[in-house]
Amino acid sequence: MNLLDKLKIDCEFVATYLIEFTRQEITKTGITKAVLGLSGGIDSSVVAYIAKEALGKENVYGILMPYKLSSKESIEDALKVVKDTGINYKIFEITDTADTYINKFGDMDKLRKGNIFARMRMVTLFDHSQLYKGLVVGTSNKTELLLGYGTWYGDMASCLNPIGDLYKNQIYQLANYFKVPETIINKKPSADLWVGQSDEDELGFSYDDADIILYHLYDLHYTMEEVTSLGFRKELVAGIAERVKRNQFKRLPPIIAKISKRTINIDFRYLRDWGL
Amino acid sequence: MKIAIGQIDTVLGDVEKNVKKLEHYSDKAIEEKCDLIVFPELAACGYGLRDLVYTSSRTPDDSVFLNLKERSNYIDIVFGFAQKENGYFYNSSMYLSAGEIINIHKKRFLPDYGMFEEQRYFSPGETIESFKTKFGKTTILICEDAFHMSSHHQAFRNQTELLITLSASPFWSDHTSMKWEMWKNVCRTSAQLNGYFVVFSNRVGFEDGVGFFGKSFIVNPKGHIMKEASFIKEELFIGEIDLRDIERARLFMPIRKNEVCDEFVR
Repeated sequence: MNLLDKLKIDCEFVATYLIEFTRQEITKTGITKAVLGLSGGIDSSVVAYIAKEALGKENVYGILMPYKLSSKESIEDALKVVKDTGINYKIFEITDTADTYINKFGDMDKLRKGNIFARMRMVTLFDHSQLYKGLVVGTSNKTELLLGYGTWYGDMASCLNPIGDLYKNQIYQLANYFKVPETIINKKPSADLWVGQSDEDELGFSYDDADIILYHLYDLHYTMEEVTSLGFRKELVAGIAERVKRNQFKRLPPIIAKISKRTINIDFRYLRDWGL
Repeated sequence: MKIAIGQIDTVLGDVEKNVKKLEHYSDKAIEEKCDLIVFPELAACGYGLRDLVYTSSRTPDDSVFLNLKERSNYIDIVFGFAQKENGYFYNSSMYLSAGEIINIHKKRFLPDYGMFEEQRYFSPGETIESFKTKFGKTTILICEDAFHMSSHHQAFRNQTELLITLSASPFWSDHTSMKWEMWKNVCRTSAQLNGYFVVFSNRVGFEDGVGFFGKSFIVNPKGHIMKEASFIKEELFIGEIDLRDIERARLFMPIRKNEVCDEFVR
């Protein structure tokens, strides 16, 4: 059996489920609209199709937030999704606001800039959340959440996330199911934070390998030795496991010093859907 | 006989609102001339209660259930609720008939693995009992109870004719199976080997991303799924059963005749 076959999902059930999740978890709060950042990449494209099915195209706002160095293809691809789904859209350049901040520093490395772009986009999305009275729908997949390949309170910030339990490979399956434009499915994944950036070059491994390793380690409870014996380098498996451990903080709200007998999220325990 | 399943969503921690919904669905089932309506596990309060257990639990005689009791003069009603008793809490079901509570079942097996934390809040019940209804000997299991062979064995020993399973079963899947296949396997096997009807009532809706898949169903005593409700949609599901099928199935497969398990247990 091809190892990637283990990641096969029944797209029809999963799509129905995610559409219901998005519809119900938003509308039960009394809100009927959604706001999402549209990057032209595969993740936000799939979320746009889900949101449109969940709420109707007139209730979904796709916000395109290019920086001056963002690739032209990203905008073109995002607009293809807008056209195909019929959702509302707005192009809101983050260049001025991001540069005003960046220029206060003489020198800034790529990582800091990347975080600023991601957080500028978060500010923009949450402001449009208030403007349009819609909830921000997240677009981080399980692979990047586990690897911590995202900006804390940047692209990882949202009100709800329909695709956070789907590996990158599974996002591609859904993209094909929703008939996302082919240019989006065929291009190399990129956060597009700087010119020529490629996720897989930056990570140092392919998404397929990461998906297989993560799936076996965490979904199937394989040991590192067992995953290595599937045909992966020991260093790669150990490196990925280390990333997951090191980035646990990004997947949780801030920790609170316990003083009282009932501390928020420690022994004051309620779901967010309390009363909903 | 007509059996209804109220495959409903709930409001987390709002007992009054949920019970109103149970009343509404019971009325609809009465209109449809059903003899019984089965609601899911913790239908009166929602599933992921956590600390809401303390405020969402009720004693069986709480006035919030009075209207349901009244309706049980027209239809038998069974539903899940969080039960309060002497400072402890139980994941329970209440069976109402002719205006009275005729059975309370306290969930015997409380899951505390994976996403589940029931044992943190609830105390376990001690028995799987059977009681007489208009359908014959009836046994109630609540979700995880049905994953224990001993529960089905007890139902068998009690000469059960109708097994009712209340559930709040979350959806998950992998490349080999969908969650509901497990439920179908369990309920079909239990029905077939023990020669009784099984009613599986599962809830729908989402709680913090956890989706309850619905797909409630009724299995006949030969182990066939007679009818199945929809995936994750709220609905009043109605199935018709012929109680004579129990005898017909047992004529065809008289398993109990040669059973020696009681001696074995001793």
